[in-house]
Amino acid sequence: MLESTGRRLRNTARYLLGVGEPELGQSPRQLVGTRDKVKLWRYESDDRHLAPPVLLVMSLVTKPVVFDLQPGNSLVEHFCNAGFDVWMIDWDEPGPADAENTLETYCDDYIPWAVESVATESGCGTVTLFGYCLGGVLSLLSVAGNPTMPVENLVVLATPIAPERGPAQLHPGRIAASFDETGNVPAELIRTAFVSLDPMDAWFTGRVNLWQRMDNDQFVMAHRVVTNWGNDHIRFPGATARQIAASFRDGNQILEGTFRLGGRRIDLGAVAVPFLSVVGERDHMAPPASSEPLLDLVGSEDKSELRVPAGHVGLFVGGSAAKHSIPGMIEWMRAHSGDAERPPAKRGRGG
Amino acid sequence: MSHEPVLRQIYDRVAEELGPQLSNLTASDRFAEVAGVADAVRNRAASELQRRSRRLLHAWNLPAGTDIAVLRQEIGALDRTVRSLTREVEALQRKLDNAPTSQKAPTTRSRPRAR
Repeated sequence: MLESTGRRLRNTARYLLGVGEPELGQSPRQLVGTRDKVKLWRYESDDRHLAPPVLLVMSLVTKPVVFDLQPGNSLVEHFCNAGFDVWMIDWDEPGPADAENTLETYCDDYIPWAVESVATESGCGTVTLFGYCLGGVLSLLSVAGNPTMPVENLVVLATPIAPERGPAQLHPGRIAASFDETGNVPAELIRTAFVSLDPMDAWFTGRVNLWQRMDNDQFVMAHRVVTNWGNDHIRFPGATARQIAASFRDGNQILEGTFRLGGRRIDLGAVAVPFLSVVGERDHMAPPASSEPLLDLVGSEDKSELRVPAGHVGLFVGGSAAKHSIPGMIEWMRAHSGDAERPPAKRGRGG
Repeated sequence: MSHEPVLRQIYDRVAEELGPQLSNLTASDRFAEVAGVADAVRNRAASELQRRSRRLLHAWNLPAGTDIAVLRQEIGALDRTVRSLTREVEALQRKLDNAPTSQKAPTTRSRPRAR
């Protein structure tokens, strides 16, 4: 009892004073290429026996360090340990030069550049594209709009293709009034938009949970890691925000197949590569209903959905993810991969 | 039977009741419109404050935050121009690489200068 109270007091003091902030993103990696501000990273590993390599695509509103939070709690580490060659696109924080970046910039330029770079540099010729949240939407649009891109498999996590609340979160009136001096949507607005999805949880329940388990060192550390990342939003490219808001003005253009990318009509039915959608049953940012239409929309013959009892971040962060969802993703990717030394004969250009 | 402390059980009951109502409120178009107006008012107040501080700083011949912002925007525009030129060069390079050998531009070879 006394020991527990001591831990509680110590953790409370450390939390309030901000002492012992956990260091994030410790897995060793190499910068392989840059395009404008975009960086392409390759994680170091002694065991890359599975191919194709996995290219992680992050959303545009938070930092990609969530893929590699801490040793023992890192998606990158799990994938590397499983034998995959892991790469990641880091969009970096948009500045004035990125304010005019549109979805075409990401889906027709940066992602194809990264995919080609990984396919070439790894020597494999193809990649498994792995998109999280809005990164999943970008990956889908990119694959659908660029059928010759060398993508062998497509995995999307917590990807809200039919967000019920899209219009309210990215309300044109609010966006128009909210660009900062760089021409982008300020990070603070992004943060409040996410908070507004579940204010009770963001304002109170998280803190109540923390207080209740303040004597648990591991829980407190995990809470700080995820909270620090979750509060560390980045600006959202202005032109992309306007474009997304416009795509929701009269319905949902992506869902209805009327969305245009660089003048081409994008039909997700053009996605023909093996496809996996990972859905968190407790995800309030990308609720299951917002991802459900994906299986009907994509044209792949080999397509499946992995449902796990997790939230938006809990899909790949934390102890439960390490036991359930991550092994599920690895199993699917392994089944759709081959030996890095002897690539399967079917490997070729997807699409 | 729940093993949670009584206070936690009370909180959970309240959260169960209030949570969805709060979420519905903040997700409504009306809320987004009101928040948009609040953002606009805040931006207006901030720009007014900036205008006054700029006048004061300029009176002392000092650069204001807005001057830096303008400079950043100009650098951003320049950066965008460089990016666009880079893309054009890449496209030309690709075209050149794909062109039949006879159509390729002759490579210039520097001749040693006569002394």
